[in-house]
Amino acid sequence: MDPVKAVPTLQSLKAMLQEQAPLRTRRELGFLMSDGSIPLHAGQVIEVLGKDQLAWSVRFLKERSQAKPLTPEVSTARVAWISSGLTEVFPMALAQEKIALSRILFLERVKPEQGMEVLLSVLRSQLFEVLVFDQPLLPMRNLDAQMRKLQLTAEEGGSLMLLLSQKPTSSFGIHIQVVAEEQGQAHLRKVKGGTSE
Amino acid sequence: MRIQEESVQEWWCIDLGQSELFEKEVFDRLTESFYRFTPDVVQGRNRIFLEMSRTKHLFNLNGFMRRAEALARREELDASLWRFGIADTLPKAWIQTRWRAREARLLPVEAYFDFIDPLQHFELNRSMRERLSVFQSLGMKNLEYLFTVPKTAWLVRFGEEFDSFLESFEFGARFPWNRFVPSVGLQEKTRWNAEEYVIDAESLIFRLKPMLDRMCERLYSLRRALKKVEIILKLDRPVPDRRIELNFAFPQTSRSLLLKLLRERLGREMDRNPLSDPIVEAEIQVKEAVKRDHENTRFAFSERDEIEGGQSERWVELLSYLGLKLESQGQVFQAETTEHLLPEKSWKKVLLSDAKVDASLDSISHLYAKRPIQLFSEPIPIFRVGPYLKQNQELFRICEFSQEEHLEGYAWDVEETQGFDRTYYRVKVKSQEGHLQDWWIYKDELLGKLKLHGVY
Repeated sequence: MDPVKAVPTLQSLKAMLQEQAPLRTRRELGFLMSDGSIPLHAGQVIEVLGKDQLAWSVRFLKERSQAKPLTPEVSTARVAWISSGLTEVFPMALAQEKIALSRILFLERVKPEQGMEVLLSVLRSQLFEVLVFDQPLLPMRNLDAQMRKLQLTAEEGGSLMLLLSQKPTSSFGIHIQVVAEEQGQAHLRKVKGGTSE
Repeated sequence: MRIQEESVQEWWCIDLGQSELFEKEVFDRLTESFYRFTPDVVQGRNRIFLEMSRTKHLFNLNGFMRRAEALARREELDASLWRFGIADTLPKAWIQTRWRAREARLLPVEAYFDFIDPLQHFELNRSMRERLSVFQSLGMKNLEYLFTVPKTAWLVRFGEEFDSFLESFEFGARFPWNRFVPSVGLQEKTRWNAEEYVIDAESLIFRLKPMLDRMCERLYSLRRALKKVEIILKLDRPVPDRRIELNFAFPQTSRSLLLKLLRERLGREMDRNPLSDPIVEAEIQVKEAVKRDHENTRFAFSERDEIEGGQSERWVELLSYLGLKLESQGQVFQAETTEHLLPEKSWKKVLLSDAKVDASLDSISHLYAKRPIQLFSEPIPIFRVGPYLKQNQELFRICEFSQEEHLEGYAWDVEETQGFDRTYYRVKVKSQEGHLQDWWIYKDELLGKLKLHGVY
């Protein structure tokens, strides 16, 4: 007769699983410009609030394209700028900021009901380092689950998301909230896993 | 002195090995599919000739035969009966296929007519048999005998017929054989019984897939890519056909992507307008096909991107998908600066912009004063009321302003520039709630009106 084996406890199983599971490494994408101490990772969502959100986003893209230590890589960064109509940007202003227009794909007047599908298809293409989109494109229902879906897809493709919002989005999926005020002033409102206001 | 060499031809012949004529449409489709090997294709009676001198290094005969077999299977033909021959002229390629002999002069006299008409000849008719009996009565056993007597004697005796033989035998390479031009339009049709009850997108896709495959094969052979396609669905009732048109932002060649786009589009179409009756016939018609050009897809992608793996393909796939998804033209685009003086026309929507755009940025954008982040497509009228600017019944206090630039349309180009004359100002205003805003306004010097054109 076989010797009776000891039944492993849940804790021991968990420990065994953690031991075996490969370490999940997040792809680093540099640092947030206004506060160099905040590292950016693929799949993060930065929510940009405030009146100066467009100018801040353009500055963010510009600084990312000149950021160190990613200089040789980021100069070719591709951006998808998806707008429901509220956050259309004047391309000439981007050109004046020395952002290569040929690397930006604009999607304008996207209907809110198509938003999620368009966002996911853009992320799934794994072509864009940064995805800029506005709040109406997020679904009202089941927001947390949808945000999680976006994050996982973005993480896989190594993309970072900028969400331009009029009001703060209440979702656990928002990692960093930046309030861009007038006169180019911006401050951090929330950093997930870090300090918040 | 430069000596011009006469190019050496190489003809490959494929004899389909049966006496009955094939259905014309099937045979034409098969012939068309041989375009993938060479553009010089000549169609004969149950035989196809390919002039391979320019492309022979891309294929060897074994590989060619295997691919030809695959093409035969696609048309449900038996390739085991096929025979192949190679020679430097078309008639000799046929002779090689039929008689398996390198030395043409030693062929039996029956081969005389193979030279006269290598495209059509198959069975001897009465007059041909009579001619052969003449040769046999003269004791001729092979074609060599025709050259033992002076040619003029034969020419006097048989005239044009012998002349054709000689021309084909001795100067076959110089003869301008008619190249095959496909007569079958790029369309596929299939029909089934109403009892099969095809009424939704998913079951329709199963019917369309083989047609789409065939269509893609044909496009591949013709080195074309799909730009616009129409699907026509006939219902089991005398009602107008349902027509669905698909426009692709980029020419398409990928079967899997086409199927994905088609599934997406048909699903949406059927959701919006469900069918009242089952479909009994479906037709795919190519409305526009363009030359397949891989260079088109390389824009905006560096060599490094290509090495990283298929980015340009994903780019094309994404844009095609979005183009169909968003339906409206111009919703998906890249931007390119132009030299137009009017700010609203200083950029244009493009797709497939290339690396040159990056270079042009510096040459144009720095010519102008700093432009706002947001530009209103329709400038908003504003009014000055003392130290305030009034917009939409709301007053904004002017805190600071500076003249940015003066833009004036050329007098000789009124049509293009609409004779505008604008002085632009950057104005910092404060709303009644105390919010600061940075406006880009202009004064229309011709009408004397102020307009808000953008926000920094």
